Amino acid sequence: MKPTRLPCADERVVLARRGALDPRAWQDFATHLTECVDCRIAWRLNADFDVSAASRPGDERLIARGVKRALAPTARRQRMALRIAVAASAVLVAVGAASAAIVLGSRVLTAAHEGETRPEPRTHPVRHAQAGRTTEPAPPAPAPAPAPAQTPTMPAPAPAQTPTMPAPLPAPRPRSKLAWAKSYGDQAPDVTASDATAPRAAAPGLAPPPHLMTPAALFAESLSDRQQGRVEDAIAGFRALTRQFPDAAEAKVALVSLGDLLLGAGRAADALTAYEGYLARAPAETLVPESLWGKVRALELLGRTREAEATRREIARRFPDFPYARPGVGAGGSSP
Amino acid sequence: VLKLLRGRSQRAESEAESGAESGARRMPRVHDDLMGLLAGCRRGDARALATLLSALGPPMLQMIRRVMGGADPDVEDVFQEAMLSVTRALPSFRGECSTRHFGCRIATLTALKARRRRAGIPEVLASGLDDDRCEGLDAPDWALSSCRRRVVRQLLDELPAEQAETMTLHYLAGLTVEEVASAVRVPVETVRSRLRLAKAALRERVALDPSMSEVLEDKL
Repeated sequence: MKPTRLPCADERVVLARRGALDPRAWQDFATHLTECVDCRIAWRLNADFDVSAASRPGDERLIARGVKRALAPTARRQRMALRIAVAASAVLVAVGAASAAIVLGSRVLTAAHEGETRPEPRTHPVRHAQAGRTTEPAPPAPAPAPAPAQTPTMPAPAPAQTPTMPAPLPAPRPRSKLAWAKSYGDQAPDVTASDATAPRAAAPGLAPPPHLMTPAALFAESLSDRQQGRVEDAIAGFRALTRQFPDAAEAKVALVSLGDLLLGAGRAADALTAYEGYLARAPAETLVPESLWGKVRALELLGRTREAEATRREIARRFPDFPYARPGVGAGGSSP
Repeated sequence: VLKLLRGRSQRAESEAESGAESGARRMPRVHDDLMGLLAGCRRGDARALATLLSALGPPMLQMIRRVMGGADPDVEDVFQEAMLSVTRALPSFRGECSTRHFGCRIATLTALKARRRRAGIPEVLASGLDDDRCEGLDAPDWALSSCRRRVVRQLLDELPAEQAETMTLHYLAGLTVEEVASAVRVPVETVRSRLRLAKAALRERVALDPSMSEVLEDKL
């Protein structure tokens, strides 16, 4: 069939349906419909399908449902985005908490491990002497349960084992003396304290290495360390000796050696405590002049010149033959 | 959708700044009372989107009923599908035609697609009385009108999609050729060509069925 050409380009059918024609134009349009098949078909079909498109009861609800359905994905997406944001925040918080717990746990473990191996930091003696401090600050606590600070006033007995401090396990292999002494010294009572005269029992559960089970062996080991320049090992060994075997003769001598080492390390307060501990526990033994002389030097380093001068006079009075008691000998010398 | 609308609005503004005159030549200015709501949608206003959809609802529902039949049970489903399609297509709408014609075109396409989806399924009312009785028509006229609608709808199922869409918008919805061209985004001559082909197909179909000749030749 040959295609029919649309002769009516002015869209009079549409204008008539929309009521845009005046009465005269209507008459012309009616005449045109009788002549133009295309416009007649369009007019008739438009009228036919207008019947189908007529509004019906309930259309408002139908349209409202359609709008709600169309908007639902947007609202659902917003709710989903909110849920995702909340879930992401919760995950981030959980991850952060877990990371913090891991870091904290690793620090605790590291600190506990370092507590066994790290030496005590040295303190500048002159600085404390110039500041006129009466107490020497405790070293930075490497472990959750640091060793109690030693003060000249000789505090009460050290606290019992701290719960956070891991108990030493039975060593499958011999531990170093310094590690054992440090771990022991952190928990055992300090015999250099004011009540050091009272005999103490060794701390339970802390056994020295097998080769250091006797005071003589421990003293010899510490003395060897001192002679070979391992000052910290020697200090730890002497300190462990005084705490583990407080009643042994080596422990009393160790107090003087400990005082000398501490004084050389600039820890005047600790050295003074050690000297006074020896003087309290062995007031009539052979190392009293050396202890008094060490006390003089410690007091001068601490800036307590009056006490130092009184101690010096005591040396001159009690031990006139003691070479450092002669006038003109300063505190720079060491004990014989 | 609102994000896409906002992005589309920004791009449209930048394009308007770069070549306002050329854009004006490309897009014929159409009076549209829904443009304000459309601008609100592009700003991300959810209320404007709801109001716009409510305004587009009646003409879209009418369009679907024209294509599907007023008594078709799938009208509501197709309408909801069309509303969803409009919501998704709004970001791509650049104002080439009025917003109502844009909605009518989407409703037409959705309804035609729905009809083709259920191809092979018998018509809801095989007797041809597919719509409620119109008070202005007597029984014979109503029967003829219903028969014509059925013939045209069957033809819409068989025509190429472009011709079916153009025929629906022009003969069923009453859009002018220019309005159809704007809505479909094709030149006017293309619309005329499609209409010509569709009408030829209609005549051919009527010629093949002698019982239908009376319906068209006597009454049209």
